[in-house]
Amino acid sequence: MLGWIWHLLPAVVAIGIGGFWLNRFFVRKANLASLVDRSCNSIEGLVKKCAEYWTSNYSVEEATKSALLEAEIKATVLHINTLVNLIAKKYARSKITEETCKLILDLQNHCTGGLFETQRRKSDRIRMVRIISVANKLTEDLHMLKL
Amino acid sequence: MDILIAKEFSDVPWGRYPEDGDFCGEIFREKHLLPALKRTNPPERVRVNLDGVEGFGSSFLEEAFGGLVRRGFYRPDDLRKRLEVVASKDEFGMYVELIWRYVDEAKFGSEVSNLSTA
Repeated sequence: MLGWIWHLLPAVVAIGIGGFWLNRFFVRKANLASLVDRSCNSIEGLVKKCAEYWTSNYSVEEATKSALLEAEIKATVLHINTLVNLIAKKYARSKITEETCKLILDLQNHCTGGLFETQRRKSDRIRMVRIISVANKLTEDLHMLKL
Repeated sequence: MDILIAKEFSDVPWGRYPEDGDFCGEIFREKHLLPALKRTNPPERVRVNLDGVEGFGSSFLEEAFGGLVRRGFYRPDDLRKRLEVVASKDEFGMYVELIWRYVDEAKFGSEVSNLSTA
């Protein structure tokens, strides 16, 4: 009497499984996009902090402000690195290239290298140009993951 | 021989030169790293553990590790035989890579040490 069910069942099961995988695909895409956006926002924030830090000389009057910026810059680079590691682990290991990893090292190197955290710090515009350049390249690489 | 930076030196290493504070790269190199390296004979290696630190500035890492080459204590290939840098957290892998980059890029003997000769 209910023999027709057996004819429909494969289609229902196929739709169910297909729907599950389709949903999973889009949820993963959305999560990846959200992590990429978060990383890019952090990079943007990092560039602003570096612009403030690396366009002034060290001064005793501004030592507290500098110390705060230094802590923020170090923590932000580490945070960006953690987010990119998470993206690689969970969503796009094959898409995070060696070049992207090198850009993160360069970012850490330019943002916190040289006379960072020293009393000999001088305004360093060339370093700032390098930071912006690396930050832009990294942002481009990360946005490519969303496509 | 193991050096756990967070425990034996500081969990907030800071700066490059002694004038920047007691937990700078130069003091770490001269008071902790260098004595340990001098006491070690290959194939035994000094193992520096980065775990537990809040984060590193590249200036600290370059001074502490790149400084070993710049100040003429060890050449990069010699240092690789004597030194191992480890971190259990994935995120800290960045620091390990940078340390070896600074060691490889440093120009051997290009500077004179202030502390070790004092």
